[in-house]
Amino acid sequence: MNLPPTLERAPLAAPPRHRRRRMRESTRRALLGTASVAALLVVWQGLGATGLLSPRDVSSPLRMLAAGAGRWGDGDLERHLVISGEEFGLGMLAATALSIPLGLLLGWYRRLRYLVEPLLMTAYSMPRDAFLPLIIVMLGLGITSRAALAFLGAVFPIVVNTMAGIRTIDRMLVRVARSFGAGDREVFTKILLPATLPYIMAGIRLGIGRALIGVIVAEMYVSVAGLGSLIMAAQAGLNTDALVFVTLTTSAIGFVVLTLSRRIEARVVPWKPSDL
Amino acid sequence: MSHITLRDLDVEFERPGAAEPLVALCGFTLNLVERRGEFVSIVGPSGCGKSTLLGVTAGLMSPTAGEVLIDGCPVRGPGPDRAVVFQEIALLPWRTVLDNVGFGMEFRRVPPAERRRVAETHIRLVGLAGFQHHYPHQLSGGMRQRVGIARALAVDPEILLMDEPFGALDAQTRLLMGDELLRIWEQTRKSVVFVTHDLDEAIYLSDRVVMMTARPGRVKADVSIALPRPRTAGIRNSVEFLGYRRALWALLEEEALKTMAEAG
Repeated sequence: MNLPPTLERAPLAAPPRHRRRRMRESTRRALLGTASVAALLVVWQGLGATGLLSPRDVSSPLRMLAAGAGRWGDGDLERHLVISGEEFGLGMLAATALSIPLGLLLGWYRRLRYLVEPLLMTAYSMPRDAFLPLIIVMLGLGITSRAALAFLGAVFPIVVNTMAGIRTIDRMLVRVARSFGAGDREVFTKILLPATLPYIMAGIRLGIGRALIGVIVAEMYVSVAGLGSLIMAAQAGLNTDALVFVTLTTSAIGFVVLTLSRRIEARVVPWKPSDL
Repeated sequence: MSHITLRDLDVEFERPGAAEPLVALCGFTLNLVERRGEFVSIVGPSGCGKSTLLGVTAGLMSPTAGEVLIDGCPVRGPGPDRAVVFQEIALLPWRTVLDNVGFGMEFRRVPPAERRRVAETHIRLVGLAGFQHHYPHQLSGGMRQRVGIARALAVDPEILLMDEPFGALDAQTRLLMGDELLRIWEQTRKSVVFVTHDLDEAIYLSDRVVMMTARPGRVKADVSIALPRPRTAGIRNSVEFLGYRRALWALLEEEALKTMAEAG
């Protein structure tokens, strides 16, 4: 006879608590994150005020903000932001479009992977920025060459991660799909792609940081516009306040983009808790 | 004519680095399921080819020679008349219980609304009502295997092929799931081929127990279990049950010793 229903239902009460705990966890995370940044700013300002550090050498949060406010007022900063943003977006878009299919192919076809992997690994650790002059010769001084550096930064982490994702797939899932009569295309769309998605998203996150650095470096060398050119101008004029402001603005943008991508990730990958 | 017939099956596997292929089955002939709705268990020592036999019947592996006949037609691959429940369960972690149970139907051109309705019905059948929107990682092992069984039943196969489905569960859950399976089987009356290495489980559940020899697997014994149905836990202590158990154990022991002697 069936055992008493209580025995069967015993482990089932837990789930609802799960969600509440996650909410609290995210609030705690935001609070602690804000606290560490605020503490750093306060210490920085304090050290300048007490004379331990000279604000002229290391700037200070208030001086930095003043420098930023001046630039913001005349619309100049927005113009540079938009230009950098376009370069970054273009590079990221191209990198994602190319590297996801490439990574899927390399992950699935072993021989192809053997063929391409050495090239990929070499390129992954190559100091790409060194090729900037060559890129300019090939692509000119316009937005394309700067986007190309962003592209080069992002493309490898996404390929490598996607490839790794395909390889970690539980072969039993493929077997289950086959047992129900799934063809190759259905195995791809219903098993391989969704199973690899968390890895693709992690690759994109890694790529974002590298693409951003690519854009800034390119602009520092060959541009009269964009955040990188502002950094160069501040460096040339020994304008510490502006230099710190633009650099930290770049970091802040990176932070915002990464946070956004994690939000998107939590949406498309609801089955795994995401962690940066 | 028997429902599922295995005729002269040879199954060999290439072994990397070895000249000789591994012979899993050699000239294997058996009326696997004699009549529709029969519950047949296959037992035998580890590595005797039980799972291979099931894989070939499912159409997931091709035999080197011989054939599997279902109502006289040779098996050429997976088909809508069969569904498999795996020991690994292998639920899709990115899908809820509802969408996992509906998974098999997606390959059978079942419209979404119908899929949902059938999935809901089978979720209730396996006792998981209220868990439609949970993800697999939120379920216990026993619950996950219920989902695996519901997924297989939802495509309404004539034949349910179960490959050590309760092998990963703890002893108590395993007993519970056995009773659940019998309850479901009484309601649906599918033919079941149930691979296990647990003799008690095989006797308790089955109409017939087929015991295989050590590799290469052949039929050692084919025993009809004439215990009354519906079966309840008390039957495990009946004289008849213990009789089957003693007889089958003696046979299994012989084979297990042979396997150990070969390995040693």
